[in-house]
Amino acid sequence: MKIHIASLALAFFVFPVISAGMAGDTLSLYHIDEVTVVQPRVRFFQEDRKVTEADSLALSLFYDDDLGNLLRYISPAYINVRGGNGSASGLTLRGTNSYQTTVKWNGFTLNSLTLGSADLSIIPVESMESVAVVHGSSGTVSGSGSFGGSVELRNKPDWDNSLSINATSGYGSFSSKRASVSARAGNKKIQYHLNFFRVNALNDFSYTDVMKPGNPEETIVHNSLENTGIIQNLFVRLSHNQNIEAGLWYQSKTKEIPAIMGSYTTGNAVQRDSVIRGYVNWSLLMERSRLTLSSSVMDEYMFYRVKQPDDETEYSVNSSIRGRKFMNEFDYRLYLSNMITLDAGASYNNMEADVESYNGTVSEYQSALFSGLRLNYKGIVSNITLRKEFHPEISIPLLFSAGVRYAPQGKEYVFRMSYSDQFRLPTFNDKYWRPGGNPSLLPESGQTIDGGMEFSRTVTDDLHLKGEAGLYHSRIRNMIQWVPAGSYWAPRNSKEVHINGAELSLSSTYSIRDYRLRFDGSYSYSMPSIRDTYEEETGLEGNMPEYVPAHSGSGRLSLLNDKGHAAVSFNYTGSRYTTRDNNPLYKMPPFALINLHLGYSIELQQDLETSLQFRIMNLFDRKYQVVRAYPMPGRSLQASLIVRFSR
Amino acid sequence: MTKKTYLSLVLLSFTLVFISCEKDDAGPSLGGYAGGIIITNEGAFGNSNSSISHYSPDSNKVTNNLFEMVNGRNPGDVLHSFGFEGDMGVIVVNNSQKIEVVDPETFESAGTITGFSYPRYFKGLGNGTGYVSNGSLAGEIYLVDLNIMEVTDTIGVGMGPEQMARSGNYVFVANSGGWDFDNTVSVININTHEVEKSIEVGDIPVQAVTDANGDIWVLCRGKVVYDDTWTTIVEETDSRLVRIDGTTHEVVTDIVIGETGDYFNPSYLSVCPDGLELYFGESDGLYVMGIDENQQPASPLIEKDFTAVITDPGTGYIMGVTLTDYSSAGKLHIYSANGTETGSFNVGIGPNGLYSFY
Repeated sequence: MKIHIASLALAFFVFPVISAGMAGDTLSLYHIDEVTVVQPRVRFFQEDRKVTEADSLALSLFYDDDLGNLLRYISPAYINVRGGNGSASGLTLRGTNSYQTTVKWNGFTLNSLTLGSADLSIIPVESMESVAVVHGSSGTVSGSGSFGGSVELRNKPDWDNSLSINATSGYGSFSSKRASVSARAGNKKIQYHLNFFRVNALNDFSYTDVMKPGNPEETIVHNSLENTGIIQNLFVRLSHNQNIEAGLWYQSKTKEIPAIMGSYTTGNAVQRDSVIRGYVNWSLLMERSRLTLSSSVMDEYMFYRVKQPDDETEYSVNSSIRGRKFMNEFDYRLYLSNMITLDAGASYNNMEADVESYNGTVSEYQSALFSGLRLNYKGIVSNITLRKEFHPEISIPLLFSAGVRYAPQGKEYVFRMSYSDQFRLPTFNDKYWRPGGNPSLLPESGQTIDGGMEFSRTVTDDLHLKGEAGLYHSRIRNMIQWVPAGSYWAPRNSKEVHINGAELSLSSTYSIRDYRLRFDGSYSYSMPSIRDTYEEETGLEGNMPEYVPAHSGSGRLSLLNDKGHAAVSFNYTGSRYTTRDNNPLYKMPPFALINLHLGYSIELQQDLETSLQFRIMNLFDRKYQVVRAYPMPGRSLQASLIVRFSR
Repeated sequence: MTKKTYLSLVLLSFTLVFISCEKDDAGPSLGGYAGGIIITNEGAFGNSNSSISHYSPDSNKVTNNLFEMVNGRNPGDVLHSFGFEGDMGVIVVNNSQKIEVVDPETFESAGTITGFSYPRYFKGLGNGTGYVSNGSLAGEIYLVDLNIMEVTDTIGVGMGPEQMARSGNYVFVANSGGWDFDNTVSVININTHEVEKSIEVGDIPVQAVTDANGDIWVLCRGKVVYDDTWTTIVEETDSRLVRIDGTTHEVVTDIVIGETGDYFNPSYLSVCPDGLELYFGESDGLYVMGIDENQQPASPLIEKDFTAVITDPGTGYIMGVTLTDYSSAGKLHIYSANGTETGSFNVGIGPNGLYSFY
């Protein structure tokens, strides 16, 4: 009965929006800026949230790196990585797990439908024009699994571009080689983006094996990486009010899995992740409204093989996972006036996976209705969004989010506050993996209350300061965690987890003649604790979940001009418990990493420029582990030559 | 704000990064550990968080993390078992492919022997030598010399060799099949280091002990075969206790334990200090059975699912360890001889074995 009432309430909100918009096409055009019109839903209705955006300098410093490393140094995110370059890495935001943060490419979720998380190590920074993190994104806007937040990756056309080509060749420590070509071509009506990249690395770094007698220096073996990908985007202006956008992304990563610390054998496991993603997005701009239709497909294939030590032709483990996801979305936005915007839409997703451990193919669908109201009046932006998810087996209540952002006129500060409902459906692995999978697993649900203040001040003509401070409180019920259960692992609902946290960020730019000195820093405090448990977990109340640092921070100090840059980036990750009983003996110590970046550009001729970039990662050769028993590389050097042609 | 003030603030912010590191906790002090029960805790696979605990009946106290406390490093990944040879203790660390040799009174490391692929158990032979069972599929027994810390010989046995028991000049190896299937016990002559006989017992033999008569008791878990969905059992064979005569090397007793359909694979078997009673686990708890009986007792002595059980030869107390999960401390439970619990203690993660040391 509750579901019917909720659906009726949503329908009551959705259909007037559409009918009002259709009726309004004959009305006069309001002056709405283009940024507002094209702004994606996840940003348009979340101005009341904290957003960390990678600026052009950050994208340049990590141009030839992966998304995990970029986020580690531009945000206080904790990147959970099991080893060096190319090892699977997940994003932990606001004290949650990596599968509680969504990663979206031009609006389409990249998270694996079998694992739930997105592997940041296979996402190249150079392929994206925009990278932003929406902290604690609401479930009404981002859908399932946004407790920590959502990472928004975007490709954007430059309609003034006719031809630009970047060719990059890079060499680095541990026999790493990287080559990429990035091309942008087109005119005012059509733009085409192509990005091809290939990365090879032996990853044969040395480390101190603290698990062996005498703590010997060892060189890691069976750790090579091959990563190849091609990403294409097409942007077409069909007419003065119609755009179509399409993208295609193919990638294949093969990674040897090394033995953990303390082992006296080399690893003999290999994992390959291949994925094809594609999307089409059509939008129609009417006099005071916008209609968007989108479809996307994701086809992922992964195999994991372990060879017998004494027989290279036999596998003791040979498992594969194939997953497909089809996503369709319709969104209608009505700019009723300069002050009022209404939005309504629907989505339908179909998913299937063929996994040996599921014993065949499993499939399911999800659909949703969503709507939003945005008010903008004298510096006050207020959002209300609703979402109703429909799932064949699980009942999900109507989700509600609301927030306000207040920028007093003539003042240098902004206040924001929001409330949001969030949820996460169990993944296919959570439900169907044999042994351990549990089809009766409950979905996670929860709320986040978030508030903060931003300021932006031009102190002098040369000095600009910008900062932000915020607090949040989240509750997650039925949090899903995989825990060992006898001879295998199984997912379990932890009854309730509370997370209290604070986030700080500060940016400053100081100009000295032709140079700019910049400082960007961010800090996060997050304290998740298990508040209530099921009977068999009694005794865990008050404990923190594993691998969540209470303190983390990052920053960059940069000196740059038109020709080049010198920068230091750093990351601090606090101590993390590794066991559910929070045994201090197995607590991972904190670590701080500092990197040096140098870049210089030379204009060879009017259209041609070359740029040389050096990066020393882990400058002080810090020995550390992110995940217990998985060694991380010490100091490493990466040198890249980039040739840019533009016309 | 002046230029100097601005630059100072930037430098201050940057410096904070370097000085904000947290300090590690200091470790506890060391002590002597002669007399009592050694508890092995395997830890979680892939996490290298195994440990050794020690229970002292005299002080009624448990000391955890002995090996790491003394040697400053973790024993390794998946600590599977413990054994004795003379005045040395041997820790078998399965997923670190090694054995650690220690002084069991202090737990100081005396050396590490490597060269294994999947080590499971150690059995002392005297003169500083012993056997290590090894292999997840094809199995072998490695002869190790603790005096020189090396493997000196290799003996091929059945698949997935597990626990070993000795009677006279023979060692009996339970061949579990490992990741495949086996149902045999290999009999090795310790003078020639050759397999003299293979004895068919029940399905998946995993544990072997020697009783007061010098006979060998083998715990066979029984085979449970699931269909591809892991939800339906398509085949299940009986769990068994099989007695092998220590002199003739023939099967003399074969007792079915548990019931087909209970879907339970017993995993531990121990013998009391005088060798006259056996302790084994079934789906409903711990059973105690005299070695001259020929059927499972009607009811368990203690209704609890242990992973290992021992009787303390000093006090006669029965001790059992239970698993919480592989990410939290397990428990040691202590019972009087009639099965009344007298206390319990937290031990390490994933306790899997109990060994008396006096």
